[in-house]
Amino acid sequence: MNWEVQEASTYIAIKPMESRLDSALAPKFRAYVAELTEAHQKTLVLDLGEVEFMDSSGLGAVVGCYKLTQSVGGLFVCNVRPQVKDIFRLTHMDRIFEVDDGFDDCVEKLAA
Amino acid sequence: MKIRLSIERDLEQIGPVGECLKQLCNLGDFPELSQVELLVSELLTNVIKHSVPDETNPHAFPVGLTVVADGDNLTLSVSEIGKPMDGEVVRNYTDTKIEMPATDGDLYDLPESGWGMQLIKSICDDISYERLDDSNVLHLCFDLKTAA
Repeated sequence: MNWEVQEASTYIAIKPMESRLDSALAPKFRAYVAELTEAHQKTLVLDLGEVEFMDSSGLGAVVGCYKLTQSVGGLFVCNVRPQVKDIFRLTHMDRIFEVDDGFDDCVEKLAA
Repeated sequence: MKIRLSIERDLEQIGPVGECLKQLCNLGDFPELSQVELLVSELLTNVIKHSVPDETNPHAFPVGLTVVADGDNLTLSVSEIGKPMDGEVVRNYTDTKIEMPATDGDLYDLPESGWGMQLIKSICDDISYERLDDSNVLHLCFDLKTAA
């Protein structure tokens, strides 16, 4: 699995460079985020701009990221594509995550 | 239109199946079928992770996926040769009750798994199970008008 990581003073951003976040990749992704959070102890920005398809396993990994980051500043998601927004909407997770934000919106919010 | 695919019991195979279906549906001039791809992914994941193949049967290992589009209706059937599906598992599929995990309580209690079944139920119009010879077959019906 490929991803890009960008570290700033107040957050760490991770962008999966995969078109699918599904049962084949979600466990690896969650494990990597656990390592990243442990090592950096910062708010996490999850950029889903390259993810065209997510299933319930991918959603479970996002929930896992949410839990992992609660003690270090929380999780922001951004650049969510329409098909991925559907799964947030169907599971009511759009009540927890702001799925319409771009990357800059997230950075602005976490700086506020 | 009728498509039948045979898929190895490997989670890595689900992505290519989704891509293949998308291409075939585009050829058939279907509307946006993202929810169908989601259904296929959830179903195949459940079958590959949780079914018990009959290891004495040399034909038991691939999972069959049949997609039938007839007018506004689309039926997905997933079949696998294996031990009969447990009654409680069948009820989980066919019981129409949809209960998404609550998102208004302590969010730390949100589950990291188990969302798939609820997603399947929230998208499908009808789910049925049948035991055909040595196979478990799940049929999911879907209204294409709703998906468009």
